Amino acid sequence: MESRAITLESEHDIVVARGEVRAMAVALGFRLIDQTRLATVASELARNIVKYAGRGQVIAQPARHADGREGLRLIFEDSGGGIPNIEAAMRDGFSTGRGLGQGLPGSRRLAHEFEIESSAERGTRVTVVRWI
Amino acid sequence: MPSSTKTQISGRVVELLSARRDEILNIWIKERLESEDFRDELISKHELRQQSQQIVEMLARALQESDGSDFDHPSFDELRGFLNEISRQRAVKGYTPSENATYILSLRNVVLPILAEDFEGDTVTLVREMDHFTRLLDRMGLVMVENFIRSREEIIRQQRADMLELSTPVIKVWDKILTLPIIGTLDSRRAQMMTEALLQRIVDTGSTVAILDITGVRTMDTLVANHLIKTVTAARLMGARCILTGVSPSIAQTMVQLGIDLTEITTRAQMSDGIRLALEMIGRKVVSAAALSHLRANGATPPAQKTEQTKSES
Repeated sequence: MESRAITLESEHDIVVARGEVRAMAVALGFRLIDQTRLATVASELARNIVKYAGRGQVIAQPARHADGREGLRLIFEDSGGGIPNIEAAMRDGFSTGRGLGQGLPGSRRLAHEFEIESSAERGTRVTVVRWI
Repeated sequence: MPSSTKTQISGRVVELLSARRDEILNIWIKERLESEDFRDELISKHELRQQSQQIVEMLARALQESDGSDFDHPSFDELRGFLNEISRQRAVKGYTPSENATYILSLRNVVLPILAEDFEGDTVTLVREMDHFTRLLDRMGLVMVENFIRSREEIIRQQRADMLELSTPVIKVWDKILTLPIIGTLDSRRAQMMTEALLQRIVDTGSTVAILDITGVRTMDTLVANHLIKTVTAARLMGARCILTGVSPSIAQTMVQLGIDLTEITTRAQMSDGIRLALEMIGRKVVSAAALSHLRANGATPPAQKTEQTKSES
C-alpha cells in the first residue's frame, strides 16, 4: 500500500483526511474500534493544523513494527508558529482556543506511539503510530 | 498496437523542439494571453507561465529520453502526471472542458510554424512530422479531457455527500418530544445550524425533551463532543432536556480514551430506548394492548370502568 499525503487547509480537508485514514486502516485490517481511534486522531490533529497553523499536511503511511506487526503511521506537519508550551498543551483540559483541551493528550492515548516536535521557526510535527 | 500507428517523431524534430523551447514557450504564452478564452480571474499570468514552462520542458525532455517515441513510453509519465494535476486544478477552478483541452491543443499553432520554417522545401517530411506531432498533442489533449471529467465527477460526488451531511432535520415524534438524527460530519457551521434549528423547534412545539441521535456519526472528536455539550446546555436553558442516543461501542471507547466527559448528559444506547425514556419524562408510557385490557379487567383504569367494577364488588 502506498503512503498518502493530504493537504490540510479547510474544514473540508479534515473530512477528507479522516476518510482517507479510515480507508487505509480498513485496508490494513484494523478492527472497527481501531479504525475509529485512528480516524479520531486524524480528526483531532488535522483540525489543530487548520485551526492554529492555517495549513499543513498529513502523511499516512503503512508501518511495520520490529516484532512484525503491521500498523499505520500518521505524520502531521505544519509550518505555523509552533506550540509555545508543549508540556502544558499535552495536559488534559489545557486549551488556548476554546476547545475542550483534550485534543493532544487524547490523541496520545488513542495511539501506541506519539511524538511531538515543535518550534516557532520550523512549525509543528506530530507523529503517531498505531499497531494492529 | 502495430508500430505503423505509433507516433515516431524524428530526431531532428526532437532536437528542434529542445533547442527552441524558450521561443516556443514565449510564443505559446503570448498566444494564450491574447486568446479569447484566457480568463485572468481563473489563472494568473505568472501561474500560466509556470505551468506552460513545465509542460514545454517536460515535453522536450520526454521526447529526448524516449527518442521521439510514443506517448505511452514511460518517459512521458512525468508529463502525464503533470497534465493530470493541472486539469484537476482547472476542474476545481471552474474551467469549461473545451477551455481545458484548447490550452494543450493550442501548442500546435506554435510548433507547426516552427516546423514549417525548419523543413522548408521538404514538404513530404514536413507533412509527416506535422502529423506525428499533432497526434502526440492529441494524446496530451485526451489526457487533459479525461482527467478533467474525472475530477468534475469527484467534485459532484463530494458535493452530494456534503449536501447530505448538511441537512439537519428536527422531527417531532410525539407531543413535546423532538428528535434530531445527526448524520455525517458535525463541523462548527453545521453544529451552529443544528443548534439553531433545534432551539427554534423547541419554542415552536413547546417540547420539553429532545433526543439527539448520533447513530450516523462515525467519528466523534473533541470538537463534535464540545458542540453536543453546547447544544444540550442551550436546550436546557430553553427548558428542554436532551437524551443522547446511538453511541456505538467504538465511539464510546474512543470518547473515554479521548477524555471526553459526557456524564452530564443522559444517554441511551438505542433511539428506541431514548423514546421510551422521553415518554416517561413527559408522564407517558407505551404498554401492550393485552396488558392494558388486563389492567382494565382488574379495575386499575380507566376511571369510568373503575366505578362499575367497584359496584359489582360491593
